[in-house]
Amino acid sequence: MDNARPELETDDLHQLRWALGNVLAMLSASCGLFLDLDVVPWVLAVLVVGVTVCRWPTLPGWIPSWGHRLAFPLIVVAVTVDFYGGTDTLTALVRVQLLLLTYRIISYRKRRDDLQVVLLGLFLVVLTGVMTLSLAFAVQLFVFTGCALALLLVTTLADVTRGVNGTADTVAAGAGHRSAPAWAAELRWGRLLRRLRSAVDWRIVALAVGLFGGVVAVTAMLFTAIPRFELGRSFFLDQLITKKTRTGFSESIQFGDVTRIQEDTSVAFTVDGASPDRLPGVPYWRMVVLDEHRDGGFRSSAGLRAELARRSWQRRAAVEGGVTGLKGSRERWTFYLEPGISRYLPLTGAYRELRFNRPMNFQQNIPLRMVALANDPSELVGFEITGMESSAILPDAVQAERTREAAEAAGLGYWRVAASAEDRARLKRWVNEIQDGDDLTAEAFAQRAARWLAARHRYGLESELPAGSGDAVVRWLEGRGPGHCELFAAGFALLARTAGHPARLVTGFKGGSWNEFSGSLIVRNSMAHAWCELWDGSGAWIRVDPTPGAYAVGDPDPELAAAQQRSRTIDGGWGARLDGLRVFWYRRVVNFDQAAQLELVEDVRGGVRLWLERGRTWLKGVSDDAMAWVKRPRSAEQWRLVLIFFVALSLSLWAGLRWGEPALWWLVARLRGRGRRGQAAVRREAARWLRRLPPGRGVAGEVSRVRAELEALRFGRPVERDAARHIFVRARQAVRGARWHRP
Amino acid sequence: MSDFVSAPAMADARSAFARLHEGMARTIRGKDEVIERVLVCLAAGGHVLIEDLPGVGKTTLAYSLARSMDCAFSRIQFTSDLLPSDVIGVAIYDEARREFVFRRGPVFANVVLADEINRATPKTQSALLEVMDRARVSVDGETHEVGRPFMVFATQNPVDYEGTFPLPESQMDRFLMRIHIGYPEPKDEREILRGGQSSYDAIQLNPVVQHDDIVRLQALTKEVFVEDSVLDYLLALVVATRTEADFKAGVSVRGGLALKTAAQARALLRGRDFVLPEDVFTLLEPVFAHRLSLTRSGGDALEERRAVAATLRRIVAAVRLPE
Repeated sequence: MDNARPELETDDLHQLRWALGNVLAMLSASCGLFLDLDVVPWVLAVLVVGVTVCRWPTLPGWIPSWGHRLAFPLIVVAVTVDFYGGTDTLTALVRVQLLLLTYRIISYRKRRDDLQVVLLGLFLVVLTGVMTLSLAFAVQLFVFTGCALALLLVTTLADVTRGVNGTADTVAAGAGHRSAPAWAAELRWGRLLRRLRSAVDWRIVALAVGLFGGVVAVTAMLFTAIPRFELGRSFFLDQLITKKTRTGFSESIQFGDVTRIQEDTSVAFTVDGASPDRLPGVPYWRMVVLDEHRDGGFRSSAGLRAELARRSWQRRAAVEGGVTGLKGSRERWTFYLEPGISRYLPLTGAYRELRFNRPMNFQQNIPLRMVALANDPSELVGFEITGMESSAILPDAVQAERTREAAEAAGLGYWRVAASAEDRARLKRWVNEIQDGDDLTAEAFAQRAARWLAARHRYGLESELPAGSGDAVVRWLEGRGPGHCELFAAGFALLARTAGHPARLVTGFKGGSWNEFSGSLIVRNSMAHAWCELWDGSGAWIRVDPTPGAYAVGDPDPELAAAQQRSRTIDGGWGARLDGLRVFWYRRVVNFDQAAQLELVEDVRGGVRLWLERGRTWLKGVSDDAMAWVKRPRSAEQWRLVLIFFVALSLSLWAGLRWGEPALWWLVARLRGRGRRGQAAVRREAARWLRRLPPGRGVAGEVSRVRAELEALRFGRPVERDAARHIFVRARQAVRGARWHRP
Repeated sequence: MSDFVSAPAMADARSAFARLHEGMARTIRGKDEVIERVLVCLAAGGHVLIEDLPGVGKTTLAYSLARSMDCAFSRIQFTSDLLPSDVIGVAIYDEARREFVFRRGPVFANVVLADEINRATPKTQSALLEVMDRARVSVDGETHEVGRPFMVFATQNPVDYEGTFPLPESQMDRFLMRIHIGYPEPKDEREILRGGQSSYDAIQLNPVVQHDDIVRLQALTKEVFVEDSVLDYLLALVVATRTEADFKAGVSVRGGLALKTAAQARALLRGRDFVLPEDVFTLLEPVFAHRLSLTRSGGDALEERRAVAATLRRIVAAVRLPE
């Protein structure tokens, strides 16, 4: 009787190897989508080619032999042109990888070619990991590793089978596919899947998955145990990339830049470690200050950039941020700024200390409350800030001591309105309308101007500037059309400056949603915002947000602040869970330095001690109660009850030892709902032993006898487990014996 | 049906089969598998259609079984002018008793050899087939039981079809098995030649089993246990013949029952009180092949039989065995 599971044939293995190789190539090529490089069309091309070739596996057979001979010279030429054509090094390197992967997809790979696919893929995955340090990297590496292991296993099996059955790379007959091997010509995915399903022992697959999971778990444990090292710094890859960040958060913006970002709901940065009741209800995350009005837009003036550059730090991990003394918060917030957002860090105000997770090159200006990294970061940036203020009033001692002339001489553009005489006249007319003959303070002017703007314009992302000549913002102010935050902020700044109040634009983010799964604040690109800061004339900048709906001048009153805190958006659902996972990744992988490592170890130790202590207390309590119960005086009746109890207990123990196991088996069989008294289990076990003891193995007579008995258990009348046990013991012995008597 | 076949009953059955096998093997040399299949038919209470060339031992096989069992044996040579009354008997008027008396035909025996059954007219064939089905004969309103056990060995020549009346498929269904004897191996044929035995009448065999024992064995066969998964396997094979495009029609319910009974008989023959999947697939071809015909028949009977057998083997390979 042949009970053996059908085996995969050599052609099946080759088909499987081909499929896995192509999947691996496409998977690793898709890493390019996560890199902020100019390779997206290339990646899409690889995916299209991969899918096409999988659909029609004989297509590579049409490539003539001279095509293969010319492939590598052509790739070398393409790479050389790419390198010397102005493409940055990393982009060119990734393109080479993609070209090589494409070539491997469209050719029938031999064993060494499969290994090459694994190595090329590994390079792309690791590169993505180093460049982004994102959660996607972990997922891709996980999938890639499983897929690569499967490919190597199948490649080895195919190689061994070819050794047994002769070469399998026979060319299929017929002119339809000129040099396609027979296995490619016969590849039908449905058939292959059915063959796999019937041939694969799912218990082995489950075991392999379990082992793989074990390896991942051990790796994770080792990761938490080994000393930290800087993965990103260990390569020089970040120096090969010239990263461009979003234009909305650079020194120069055009109207609409910030609004464009608002269409993107992906995470911009995460604030971890903040308690929700200490966070302002609507935090304003300042990133870039824009002071110079020029060419219809705002930008950071040369003077402001020079002020920022005055305090440049090289390879510095921590700096103070202007807050000293005993007052103020000491709360520590950890920021994870996603790659591609900006080189300017999001800050709500001054702070006690800023600490990066590694030494960095950056510029810092405390009065401006700005910190700018030396380069646009191509990877995630993690930093901690202690005791950060979030007030809308930003004292600026430097500005207070400076006269307008001195400031203008220094290149600062807080007063300047770069508009024509006509535009200035219009602005003046509107300012007069706002002031209505009153001599207003800066704050009073801000209130009125913001109301004036809100009365003339409604908020809308679909803003269109009226046609005509002159300054764009003035044209918008003149019209009555809708506007977005940038136009409101710019319009307000021009009005304030015309009224004689120094004003500047600030771009960054406003608000954030609370993720309860991770206990962190998530700030998304859609929260990008622009607002103004107005000089109060006596030493501080007042935050003014003239955009309708967000209208605010200075700090909100305490009741409003509390209401804003209560009404903060709470993230839920699977998206929030994913964000929570991302934060976990940042905490435990990206920002997992030695301090965090020690903290984790301390936490674990503390937890173990706590539980031990609780256990000891519980045991002591139980023993004390028992002793008190024993010492309590009793009547003869009570002693008799105690005696009965102990006798009953002893009898129960004895019965359990005597019949416990059969009863357990009976219970298991009952719970499984199969058969009476585990008969189905006996049949299954007999079948298992029959598979392990095929005829022709071991000592012939003994094996035949045991097999006959097992067959009787499997196919005969139902037998209880007790009766079958000795047969299983003999089966085990026969299997062991068979190992020493192989035919 | 009792829960268990008792060990002594099993031992008796095994011993009886062994004796029968040994006795028959002395006259039919080198054909252990054929003998086993004949014994399976006997235990299952079925009839055998032997399809082979003349002179390969068909009559000897039937005669040796009859002699080994202490049973009545009769042979009917079927020809085109044979009448049903020549087979089942006829009622004749007895002058002395002044009444019609039924005179039994050759079918009243335990083992009946219907030689070249396809040479008789369909009317005569159906008379025999009725007896095979019901194990009794009805003449003039009276029912006459034939012997117990009752087993028909029908033979036909697969090559010479001139002037024959092929059995229709519905009647082929009445035979439990169709078996081929085939030429013996050279070493066995040398032994036959050395023996010089030319006629089955010359066979000297002593009865080793009483015919009551055979009846008991047939009753015992029905008690052999068939586990659910084996029954499912058997059913899957039956269903596969019905969905197979090569066959005109699949196996009937009677065919499925026949395979089950045959598998039970084989298990008993091998000393088991339970059926293995092996019993089922081993007997699939002899039990099913004569019940099936090809959608595209080429006209050559031998070729068609080979094609049917090949398709059945493919079905066996495709249907998953119970583990």
